[in-house]
Amino acid sequence: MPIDFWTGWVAVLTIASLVGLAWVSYGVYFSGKKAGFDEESPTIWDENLREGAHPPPMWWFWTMLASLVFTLIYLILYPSFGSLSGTFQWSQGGELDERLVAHESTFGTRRTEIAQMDLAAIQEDELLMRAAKRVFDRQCAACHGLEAKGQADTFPNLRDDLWQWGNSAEAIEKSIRDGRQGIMVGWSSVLNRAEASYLAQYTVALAEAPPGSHPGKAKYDELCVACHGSDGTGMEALGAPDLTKGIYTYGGNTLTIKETILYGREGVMPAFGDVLDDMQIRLLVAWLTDGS
Amino acid sequence: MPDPNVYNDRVVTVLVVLSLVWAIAGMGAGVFIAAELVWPTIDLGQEWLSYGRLRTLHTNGVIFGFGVSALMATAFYSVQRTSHVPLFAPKLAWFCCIAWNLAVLLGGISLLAGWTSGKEYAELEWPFDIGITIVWLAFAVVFFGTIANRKVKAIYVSNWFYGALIIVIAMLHVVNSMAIPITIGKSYSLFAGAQDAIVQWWYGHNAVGFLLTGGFLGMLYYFLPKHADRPIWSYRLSIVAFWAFTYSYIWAGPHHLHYNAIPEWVQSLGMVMSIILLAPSWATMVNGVMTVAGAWEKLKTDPALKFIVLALAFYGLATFEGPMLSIKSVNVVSHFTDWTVGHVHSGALGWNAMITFGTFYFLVPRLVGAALYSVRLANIHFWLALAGTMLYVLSMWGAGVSQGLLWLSLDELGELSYGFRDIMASMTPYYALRFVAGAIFLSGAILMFYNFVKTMENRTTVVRRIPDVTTARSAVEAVA
Ligand code: HEC
Ligand code: HEC
Ligand code: HEM
Repeated sequence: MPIDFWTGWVAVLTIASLVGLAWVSYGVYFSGKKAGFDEESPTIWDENLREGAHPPPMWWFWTMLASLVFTLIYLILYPSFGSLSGTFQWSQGGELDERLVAHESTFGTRRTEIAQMDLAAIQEDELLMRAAKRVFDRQCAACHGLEAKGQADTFPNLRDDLWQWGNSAEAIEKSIRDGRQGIMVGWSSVLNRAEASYLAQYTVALAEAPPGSHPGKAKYDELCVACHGSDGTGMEALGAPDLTKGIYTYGGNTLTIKETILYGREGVMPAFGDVLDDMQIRLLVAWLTDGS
Repeated sequence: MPDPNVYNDRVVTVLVVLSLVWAIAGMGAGVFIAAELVWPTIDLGQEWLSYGRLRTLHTNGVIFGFGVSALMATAFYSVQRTSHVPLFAPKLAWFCCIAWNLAVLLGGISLLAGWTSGKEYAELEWPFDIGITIVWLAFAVVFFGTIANRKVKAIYVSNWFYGALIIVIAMLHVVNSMAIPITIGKSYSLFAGAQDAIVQWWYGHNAVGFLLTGGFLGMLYYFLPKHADRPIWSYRLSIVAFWAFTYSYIWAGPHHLHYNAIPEWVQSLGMVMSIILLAPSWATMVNGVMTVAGAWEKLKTDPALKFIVLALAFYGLATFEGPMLSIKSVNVVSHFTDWTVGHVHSGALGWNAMITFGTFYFLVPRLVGAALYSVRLANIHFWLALAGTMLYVLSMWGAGVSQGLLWLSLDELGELSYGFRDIMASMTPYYALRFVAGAIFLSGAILMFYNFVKTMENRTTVVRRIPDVTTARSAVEAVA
């Protein structure tokens, strides 16, 4: 077992300290000397402060010794000095792996079954739906809000009928597993403020009645159709939202929309494929598609 | 020209009063944030009333305002008397008193304004860190200067603890506060990542060890035997306790970082050193209890002594619980729960605050030359303090243990059984109880404040002349 400098340094320092502690305890109990204490004529400070000559109790000495012995044994068994990993070869990572294996062997079969269950069957099972809600609470609610209704004009509502990336179980599963990043470029270099205002008004109008002629329409047809479509119904492959529903993640007043148009938007949904297992993702998909 | 035969006690009196003011303000902030955890909207949407800012105000107010002012007061008081000389550089002592309290006051305001270095118990930003260093050096000069002038050869044991407090806190504070300033109100630590965490808890734990424990042990070693009029039970036990205590404490910080991203051997050492720490801690407790043994009658009638003895009991409790919490398999349950908060407050309320109250009940009448206004009120205070502490500790134990077990529990799918939100929602009764406990404890402190104000109304001029140095033999000879 090669011992590097720092391991040696820590080992020497620690062992010297433990020996020091033992030596102090031993010295105070068993050396004849009373280090600076004159029993014949003890000092009196401040008129009545004195120190008594009672011998310290033996049980204390044994307690100290026992904890030192425990320390030595523990340091031999467990990671102790720098690179010495102890005779048990215990490690945090190793303990985690063991627990994961134990978890898998206890729950693995059941979890695999659930991961393959029909969504409707999951939705009927109250226990599973409660578990799904807990996973959502833990992993998703910080962004999407407690009831999955979105928040902060930044995180989309998952309880409405606007799905940028598609509302099929497959699309939702993909959103969770791989994450999503919608990119809407900004047009501030192309549009002047008046044009942007017209476009914003036109966008709002898309949600009401299909406007026949509108001062924003020309620019829309030039710049926006590629992603949002000529009728404004969007394109799931790009995550370009349907603008005809009047539902907005970032806010629906014309000023905010103008901001979206001029400076763009880039929402990031992190990928959870490595964080959640198949059962958890299946539960979330079931929970999110329930009742929709 | 100060009279070389008279103790400098005015600065002590002022420090005691300031400490009392901080006690009320700091605990008041504590009760308010306890209420915020039950009724979150009482911050009225004001940033400076928000939990994050007031919590730091609370911890800094009680530890550095109440605690350190009390430690400075009692250190100045006792070092003169155990050295039989007046304070060395009394003007510097006044500087310590005023500058320290100004630093805590302005520091508190800066915390409310949102300045923070983000390091627990060391939140104040770099300008304050520099100020604190200067005041602390001045404290060291006054204290060690007085010791150097002493007329008694042997240095009394309380001074070892106060001395360790001054030296170790200086070292911890300077190292942990090292940072690169960006603006007047913001700096970044010189350490990064796991290193920063280790340095922070080396500081944090030893601030507990040498300030909240060591410093207050100095108080204990002076005021307990003085007041009980009994010798410290065993001189040898105090030696071995002191050295074992200072030596093992400094290693124990990593028990705050179990199962974190710090090396495993660092955690191991932190754990074993914390277990060793039980022995020296209990040595002091035993030494204290045996010192009062034989003065039990006095205990029935004297509220000051009652507070001090109860403080010893809580000291024993906290220092038993601490090593248990340091054991990794216990810490897995207790960490990130209110159990830690319960542990802290059995130390902070039961030990630090109680021993300070006891000491002040002894000290204030002597400093102002008037009998305590009402012993009855002091006795009521004792019961309020005891009830408040017990209720606090029990409610947090209940909350902490149930959190610890609930976080870890798995359902039949192998999923966590409870969401964070569900567990927090179930905490309301415990938090409400803690709020009540805090309010009870605070009301006791207010009663004490009132009692002292009334006592001071009858104050007379006190001049304490320095007595001759005696030994037991010369005392006997003098009588003969
Ligand atoms: C390159 C494809 C693309 C083009 C071209 C495009 N968009 Fe978008 N748009 C998107 C995507 C993707 C998003 C979603 C951004 C996100 O998820 O953060 C989006 C979002 C929006 C939103 C925000 C909706 C909400 O929920 O708040 C508005 C409004 C909008 N686009 C309007 C327009 C207009 C008007 C134009 C023409 C000037 C335009 N977009 C051009 C792809 C595009
Ligand atoms: C860090 C914040 C964050 C977290 C955590 C998060 N999301 Fe998202 N999520 C987003 C953002 C932002 C978007 C919008 C992405 C875009 O603009 O294209 C989004 C989009 C989605 C979509 C697509 C919505 C649509 O309209 O097509 C789904 C489904 C989704 N999230 C589900 C989840 C689930 C389930 C979780 C928990 C496992 C989760 N999210 C956790 C931020 C987050
Ligand atoms: C032998 C003595 C002691 C030991 C070994 C010890 C050990 C511990 C441990 C293991 C924790 C919990 C760490 C975590 O899981 O986060 C802790 C927290 C704490 N203890 Fe002690 N303790 C001791 C005595 C005391 C005393 C007397 C006080 C006096 C007030 C005290 C004050 C604190 C504080 C303030 C914290 C909270 C730290 C934080 O903010 O996380 N401890 N202690």
